[in-house]
Amino acid sequence: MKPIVARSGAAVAVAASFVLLAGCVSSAPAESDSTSSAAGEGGGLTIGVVMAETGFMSPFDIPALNTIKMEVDAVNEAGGIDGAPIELNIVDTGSDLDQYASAAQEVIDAGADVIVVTCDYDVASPASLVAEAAGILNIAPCVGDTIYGPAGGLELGFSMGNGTPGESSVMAEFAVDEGWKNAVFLTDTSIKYTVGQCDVAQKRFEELGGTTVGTYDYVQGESIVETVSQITAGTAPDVVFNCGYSPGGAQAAKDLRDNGVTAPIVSGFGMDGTFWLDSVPGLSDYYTVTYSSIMGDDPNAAVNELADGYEAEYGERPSVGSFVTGTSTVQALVAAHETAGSWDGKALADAFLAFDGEDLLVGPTSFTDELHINVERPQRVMKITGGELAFLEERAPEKVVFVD
Amino acid sequence: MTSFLQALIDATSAGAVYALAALGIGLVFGVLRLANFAYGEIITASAYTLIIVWPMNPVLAVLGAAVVGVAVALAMNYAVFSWLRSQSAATLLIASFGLSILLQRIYEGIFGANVLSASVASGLSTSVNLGGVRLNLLSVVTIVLAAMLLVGVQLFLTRTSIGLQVQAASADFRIARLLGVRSGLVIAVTFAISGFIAAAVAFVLTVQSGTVGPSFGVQPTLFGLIGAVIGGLRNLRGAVVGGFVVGVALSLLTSWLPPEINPFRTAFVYLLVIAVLVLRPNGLFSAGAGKVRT
Repeated sequence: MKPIVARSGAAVAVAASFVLLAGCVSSAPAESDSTSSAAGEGGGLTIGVVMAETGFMSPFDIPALNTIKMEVDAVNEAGGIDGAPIELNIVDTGSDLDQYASAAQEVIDAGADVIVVTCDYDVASPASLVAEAAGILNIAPCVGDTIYGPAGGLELGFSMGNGTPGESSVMAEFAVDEGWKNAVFLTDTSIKYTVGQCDVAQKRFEELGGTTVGTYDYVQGESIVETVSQITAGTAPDVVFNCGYSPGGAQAAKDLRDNGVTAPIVSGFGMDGTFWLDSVPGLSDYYTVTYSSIMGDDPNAAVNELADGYEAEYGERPSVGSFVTGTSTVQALVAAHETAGSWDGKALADAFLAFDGEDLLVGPTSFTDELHINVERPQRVMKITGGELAFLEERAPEKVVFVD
Repeated sequence: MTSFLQALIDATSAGAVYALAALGIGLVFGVLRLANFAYGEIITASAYTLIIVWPMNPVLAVLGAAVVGVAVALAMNYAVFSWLRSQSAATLLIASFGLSILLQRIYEGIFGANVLSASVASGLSTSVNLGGVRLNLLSVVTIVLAAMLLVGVQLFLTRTSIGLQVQAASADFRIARLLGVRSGLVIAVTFAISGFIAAAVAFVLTVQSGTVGPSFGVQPTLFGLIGAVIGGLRNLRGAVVGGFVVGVALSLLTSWLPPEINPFRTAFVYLLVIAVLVLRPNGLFSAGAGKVRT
């Protein structure tokens, strides 16, 4: 018989590996919250929402989900669609990957005409594929990866988000226009979105004559002091691209500043918001490219009005600029239904593909047979100075580049 | 040479954090044969205390973090583990795993899934340049704090009556109890000390990151546990050295691995764990076979 300690050691190692591989995602049964009476009653639209109200995806999902609720209320107060109210059947997945397929099946069985999923392809795709198999239109409000669509096996799948190629091209073009020549690229490898973000930004930056003086990886939860030591030992960068999301991206920003890297830092939507700023007191010279400003200074008055309404409804301002994509999801559905005349998945998808600069709150929206996500919309560059986030400029990509 | 020195300084600081985590985990394992996966949630509770209270009163925040760490550790003992003392190590392990997930959900329910942020002891985040080598004050504080706690625990174990009882219980819980060691008290004191150490880990990590979320304590606990396994779960000094080795190895691999294989640095640490478990199932610093807990 082997000693208990040896067996315990092996068990601990196996369990530790399991937790790490599982991405430390806690598991909980999906919770359904139907805000309607009987699903599909009266022939109106029933939207099955398979998103995370809890867990690690919830900071990204909740703002879009809340504005979906607000827009549905607004449409229903105005008489609904063809006189029928929109119904919402919401399942909280707890950000648990294992819950997505079953949650999608649950809302479909309950009569959902359309499925709305979580804001990350890796997490959402099990639900999207279930919708796809059932011939139901599936929308991700703020996925940035261009794989959401035909490239990911989703002929009926569309994202209302700003595609990574456009977002990252804007990041690079902004940096070059600021006169920054040498760049370090820091990539959080824990999700595809941030990996693609730095790949595209680096490619566009170099296209424009910039020089890469270092590329480094990190994963959520890691301190990057060793990487900072390597950065400070090499050619001093004019700019650092931090392709990450909070809290790991915030840790990276803090490690950079605490250890003497004063170069400007540019990030994408993953580092939007003010909730992490207190961790790096007095943070300055930090720029984020995102959907809209949550600070009330967006150039689009309708965005500021929505942010104010959000605060009145939920007691706090939206945490990130993607809150406009929830409203846009409902706007797009209403517009597509006018063309399609039904809630059939294929008919709605054809109507989406017929959009030609459709005027949605998130920006002009068009799709192609290959790309079910927008890459050319104007975006907001936000600037952090002294720990305060403020709108800096609106900027559309001059050229959108793609990486394999 | 300076980059080599810099890598060593970074690695020593990282190793000190995991050594502390391994100390807290190893203490409890020594007495109860419990590899406590929920140790991370004690760290998280103290970290929430620091992040929330620090902007109001730094002294209160530090004291509060220590009190909360000890209280959560004791609550774990009395609410869960004291009912499972006669169960197998595997049962305790699974229970701690479940408790870890439960507490993460509770934190999420109370504080939300998003991170809370605050600048904790921002003065410690500053760096000075000494002959081309960057020295972060927090690194120095981490190493000193770890050394002080290690010495403190060692003195407690060897110079106090209750400490000697803890050592006796670690050596053979059943015999120690037959000889009059107060098992309930010994276990409670062990949990309390491990909670205090968790608060120290939380302090270092919150100064380092300035944020806390529901799964904040998971990673240091994982690597602390792995370190304790490498060093030898039943040997407290071995566990501490193991934790230190894991931190140093991770840090040096990050500094020195070529970019092409750098993303796989964690895999190399796991390879190390596998190699150690194959060659030395009881850990590098454990002599002989462990004894069955009753």
